[in-house]
Amino acid sequence: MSGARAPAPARAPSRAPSRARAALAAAVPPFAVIVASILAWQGAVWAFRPGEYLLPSPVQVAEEAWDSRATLARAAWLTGLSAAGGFALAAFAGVLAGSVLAASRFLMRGLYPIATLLQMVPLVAIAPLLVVWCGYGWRTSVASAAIVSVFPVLASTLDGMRGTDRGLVELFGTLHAGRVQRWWKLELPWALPSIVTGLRVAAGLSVIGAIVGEFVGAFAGDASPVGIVILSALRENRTELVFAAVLTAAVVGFALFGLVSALGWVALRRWHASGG
Amino acid sequence: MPDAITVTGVRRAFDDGTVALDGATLSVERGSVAVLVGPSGCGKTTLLRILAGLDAPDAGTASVAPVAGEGAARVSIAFQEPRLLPWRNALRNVALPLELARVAKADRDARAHGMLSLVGLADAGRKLPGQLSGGMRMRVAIARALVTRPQVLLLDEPFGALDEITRHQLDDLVLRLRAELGMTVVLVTHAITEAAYMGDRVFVMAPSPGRVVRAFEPGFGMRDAALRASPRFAAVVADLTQSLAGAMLAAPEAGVRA
Amino acid sequence: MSILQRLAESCGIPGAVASARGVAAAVAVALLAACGEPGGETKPSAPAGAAPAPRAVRLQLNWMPEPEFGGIYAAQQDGLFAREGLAVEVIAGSAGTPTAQMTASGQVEFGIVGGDQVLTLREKGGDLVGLFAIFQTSPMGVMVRADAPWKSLQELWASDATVAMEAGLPFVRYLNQKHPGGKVRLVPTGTGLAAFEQGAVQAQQCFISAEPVQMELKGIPVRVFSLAEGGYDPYTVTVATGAAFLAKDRDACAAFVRALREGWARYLAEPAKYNPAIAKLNPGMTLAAMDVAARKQHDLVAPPGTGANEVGMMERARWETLARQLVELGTLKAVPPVIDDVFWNAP
Repeated sequence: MSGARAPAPARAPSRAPSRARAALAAAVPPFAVIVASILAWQGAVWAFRPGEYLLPSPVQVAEEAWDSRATLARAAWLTGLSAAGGFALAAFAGVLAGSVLAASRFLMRGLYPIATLLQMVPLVAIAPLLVVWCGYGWRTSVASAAIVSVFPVLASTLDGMRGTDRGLVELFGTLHAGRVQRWWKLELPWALPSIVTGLRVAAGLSVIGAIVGEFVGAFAGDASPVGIVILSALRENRTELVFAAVLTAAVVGFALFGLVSALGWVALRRWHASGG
Repeated sequence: MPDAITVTGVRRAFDDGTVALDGATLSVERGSVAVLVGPSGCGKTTLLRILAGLDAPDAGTASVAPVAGEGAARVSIAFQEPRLLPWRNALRNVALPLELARVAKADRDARAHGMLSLVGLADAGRKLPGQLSGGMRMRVAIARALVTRPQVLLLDEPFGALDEITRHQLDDLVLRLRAELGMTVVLVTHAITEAAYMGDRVFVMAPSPGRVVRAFEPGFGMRDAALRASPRFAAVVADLTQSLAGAMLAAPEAGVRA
Repeated sequence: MSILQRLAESCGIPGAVASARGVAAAVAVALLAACGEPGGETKPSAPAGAAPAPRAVRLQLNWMPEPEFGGIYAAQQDGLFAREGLAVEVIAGSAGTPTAQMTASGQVEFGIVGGDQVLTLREKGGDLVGLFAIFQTSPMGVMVRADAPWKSLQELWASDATVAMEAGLPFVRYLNQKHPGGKVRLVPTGTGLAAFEQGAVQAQQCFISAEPVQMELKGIPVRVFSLAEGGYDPYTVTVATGAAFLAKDRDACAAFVRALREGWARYLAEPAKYNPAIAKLNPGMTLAAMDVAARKQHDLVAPPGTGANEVGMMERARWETLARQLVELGTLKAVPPVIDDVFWNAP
């Protein structure tokens, strides 16, 4: 081991526990809030007795979630796949479109307002059209997930790239870098922290998008996605299953968000956090 | 030795009406160190940027002659800031110009590593810029400028932000590299002692409009710590100081643009 | 969910809105109840002796204004509710409006609910009581194009057709149970009739008197399989109230039902007199379609031989059959011990 790297192992043991402690400390407030909310929810059910058909207690929801665990797990898997697929499409298209817009002032002036406008179109309104275009099944959910999550990626890519350090752009000029080289080796990595932020937002949105797509276009059957489980539970007046399914969707969203955050952290930790 | 750089009657005015350069004329002998020194607004950085190809003169000519048998002169520039890519380690930052020129990885890594060794950072190749001191970052930037083996190295006040000891070390490094690599160096600075120490030839510039008012040869052969302490060095510094004071007087309203 | 609801409300495609709005509304109702809004409480009626001010009550529909609610609008238009001392506010709904929950919790005095919902919600503590069954024969059906190859629900169910039906509705379970091993693929109805028109779905749940009429007027001939004929015949469109309200205000309920009976008698006799007002409230269905629908539904509301005062009357045996069917389907845990609590035929 070379001299320069020698200090690393000596520092590692002292840093690892403190990092773990910091992570634990960061987890305490949200955990406390969750526990408090569940207790308040249970308390409200005891105090006001709204009736199971209106507001099931957390215990009833937990029981239902356990009884329907196979259904919910399959639903989470199917919806997660659609959301992840839509997210991947949105990530690819958003970074590409953001890059193109960032590369041309003309295109940006012409297209960015339109992109902003597209974002305002309520997904619920165009979801039926998606069924017409993509047909029933996973394609509609994927498309729907992609549509809601593409804009944050596009906007964050555009923002990040437009903020590229002028000095570095000049440096690339003196080094006779080509346009693609400048994009791939300078603008894209420069924009990465901003893009990761956009991707994290998109990850959460993609689950909502997938479910909206499922509301109009998913197949119901032995293996139904979360959107269908929610619809069907509503029709059956199984409020506790509705709650369990909504919580399942939240878990899927959180998992995607966490995955993207973790990947982003791995990609950025070396230079972004070090303040380079 | 023939001239590597020839500047004749260069004029450069900006859109806001500032005349950064007017009638700037100078020539730099191949293999020598030329220093452009002057107050803010005298156009020294503008002149350097024109030589680097980052700017173009409105009138006059500025040319960098290639060495015999080569098409175009290889010119490198190091800026006031290191301008390193924060996500690349030192080695990969140094290798960047080769990478952009599509040199094979093994080759460019070897050359980048060699250049890092030359600037005294053989062990820091895997460190990110954020983990390096200011002086070390500047060394990386110099290594990056040199990795393409330029015939002309342009330095735009590269060490202005560093402490004096570090600056002296880097000045000596540049002189040593000039000797080892056999290149022409143009250094822009506003520090009189640095100009006196570094320059085979010192061009004193004056503002409004920016131009060369005096060309001056300190005539030091060997530079070392002893030189800095010697009376003849002090005499040159005093002489330069006087020239600069004259240049400043010529332009009371100077200082808009370097 | 409130975002979904807002999105849903901001757009004008009712079919698409329904699902999202249903989720949002159900949660909203739940939250309202959880916040301690006194459910089931209504303002005390006017003190005896004072001039009888009209009693304000609300009727929540579960769909847009259409001929299936014709008698209600007729009673409104002819002042029959007012004659009974009631000021009725009729609130239009959509496929996702949680009318059962709203009615059981007392947010509205009366609501249009499915007969199956009366039973399932009672099992979860939502004490609904059926007051008036608009259709004596369930108008539920499944429509296919006239040239479709299937001659029966059984044939359809054995095919791999794409069928727009709301999963979770008891009749879907009924069909699955009756025709086991079916290969049909069920999809939501959120696209309205567009998917059926386009051919993306080959069969669609419908009211015999509504969607097929719209298709035929658009020049798309269809055939309809009746679920009632297939053996599942609940009181599909039932005016219900909460048990608490009925116990406290039996007179108001009786007055309401009397006005409904008279309103339906008038609508059945002369629908064209009342349809223009309904059509004005629902731009999604033409007046012509409403006139045809009214004709088609006549015998479902009042089968031949129904006496003038028998419209809307419910039979104990029918409720019992439905409860047994729902238990078989797994939608209901047990047949209610006292069937007579489930409905009330006002004198």
